[in-house]
Amino acid sequence: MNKSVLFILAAIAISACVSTQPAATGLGLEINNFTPDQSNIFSSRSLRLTMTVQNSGDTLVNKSKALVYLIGSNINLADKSGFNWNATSSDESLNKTFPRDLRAADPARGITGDSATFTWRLFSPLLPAGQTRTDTFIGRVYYEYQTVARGTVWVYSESEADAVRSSKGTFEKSSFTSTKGPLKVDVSVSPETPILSSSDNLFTVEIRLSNIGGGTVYRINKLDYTSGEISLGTEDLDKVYVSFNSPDLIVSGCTGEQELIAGKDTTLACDVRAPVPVAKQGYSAEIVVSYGYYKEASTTVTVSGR
Amino acid sequence: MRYLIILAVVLVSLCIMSPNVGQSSVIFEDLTNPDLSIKVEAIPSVVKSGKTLDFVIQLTNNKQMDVNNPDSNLIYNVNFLAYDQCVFSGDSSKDYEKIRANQTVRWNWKWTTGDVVFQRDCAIRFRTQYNDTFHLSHSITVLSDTEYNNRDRQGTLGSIPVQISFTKNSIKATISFSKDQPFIDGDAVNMYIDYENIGNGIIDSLNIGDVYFTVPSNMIDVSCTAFNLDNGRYVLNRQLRFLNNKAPRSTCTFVTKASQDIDAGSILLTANYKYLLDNSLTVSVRP
Repeated sequence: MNKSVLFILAAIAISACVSTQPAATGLGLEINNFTPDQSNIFSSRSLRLTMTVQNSGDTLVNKSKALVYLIGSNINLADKSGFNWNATSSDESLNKTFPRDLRAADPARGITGDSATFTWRLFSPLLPAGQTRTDTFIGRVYYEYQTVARGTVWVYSESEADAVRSSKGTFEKSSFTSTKGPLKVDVSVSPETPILSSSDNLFTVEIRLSNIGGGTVYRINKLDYTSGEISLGTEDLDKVYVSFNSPDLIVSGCTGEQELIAGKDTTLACDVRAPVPVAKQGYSAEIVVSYGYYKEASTTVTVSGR
Repeated sequence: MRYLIILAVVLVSLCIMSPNVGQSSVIFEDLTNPDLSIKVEAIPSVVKSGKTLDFVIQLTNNKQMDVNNPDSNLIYNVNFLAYDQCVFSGDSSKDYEKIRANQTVRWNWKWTTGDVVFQRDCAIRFRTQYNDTFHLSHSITVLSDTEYNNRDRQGTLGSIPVQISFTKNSIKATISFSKDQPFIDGDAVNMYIDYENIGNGIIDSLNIGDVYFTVPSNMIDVSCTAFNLDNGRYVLNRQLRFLNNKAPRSTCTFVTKASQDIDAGSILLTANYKYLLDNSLTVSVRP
């Protein structure tokens, strides 16, 4: 083979390795950018802090269930003394609501998830000449989200199970596919293939919840997103709401409000009763995990007095 | 060949006729003092009675110049005084109202050398006195119970940085606390202010009113024995004398208050001080 052809093949192989992209994580509403327009500023100058958030998950973010919030060192928008970061206009507020719903990405049509940009306009504080101070700003996004697992639970009658075994056939396996979000939901059925009888039609569905978004989970319907009052108590954190939707299955023990302890995965065990099939039957099921979630980003600005 | 000999004779005679014995100089330099550096040069290093000694002084404000803010980081009320001129006479004191950041001032005195009966080493003693201002900013972060507990569980308490910035001065003040930051809403905390002379010179004391600080709204019930609250500022109410380059520690107490989940503010401390650099250099004087 010609040497140049070999060289080109090698180059293609290497470039293919280099350009391999990690699997998209899709972690819900992500803060893509949180930066000031100036990182060094004098006293009594205007500053713009900009935050851009994007829906990187698979679920719509409802504008009435989301807000962004600015926390800052030495910030007091109503301050008239000038010694704190204060607002350039009376309309400025620490919290900002979303202008519209943020839709999830549509890969089939090549559309990325919606994003929104928020800007805070502030006046820098008065410092004595010669004094320099670095202030930290933390931008947070609070929103309510869902991770949904959908799939089919396959169950067998005893006679059908015997028939499969004697014919050395294979059992249909239950499987679930989950949407992307900051909480990961994995569903498994135990036993893997439930074999039901009229005296025993009970099996278990396990729901494993993992916080992979790097943020904090909180109870849904707790925050008033329009007023911007952020008042979450410790008892409001780490709470998710689970619903198990299936017209044919009777589920208990895993629905309603559940706790997902920070830093740990939680496995919920659902007791499920299903009608005994004549042979085998696949029951569709949808598990919806609803939760509030917040994430933050930080930046600094150095102020010099003059 | 004859011309070469004549040239050599002329050069040698020029040396003998020179007003000073040698043209080398004696230099004193202090470039490590944080705020003001000094260079003093006496020319020549060996001088004859009745001749002139050039005394060249150079003072530099070591702080960084901010082109947009030229009046920041000034050193002011600068006085250079040659308080012991030995056998020399001439101008001995010069004042500058201010020396700007990164600015160097340089001047030259011509001193007349007095009579000596035998060669001696003459120590010229001089001091540089100036006023300067130290600034310190130290951030205070107070978390609500919820925020603290959540970050504690997630291991992110350390992700809120303590921001400290201070100017380059011969005097340095530092603030420390009886508890680590971030604080929790309602914490009772002791605050300590330490003062240190880190320059090459002398400070006698920080005087009443020389040190003051403001506190952010997340510090309440502030109480300091060495400071009085005056018009929103805590102002030093006693003289703090330096001993072994340290002044007595000041202690305050306060209670923390979080108005939001993360309530961050800063203490701004200012210390005005008078500083003295005392130095000398030695010149040989011949009859």
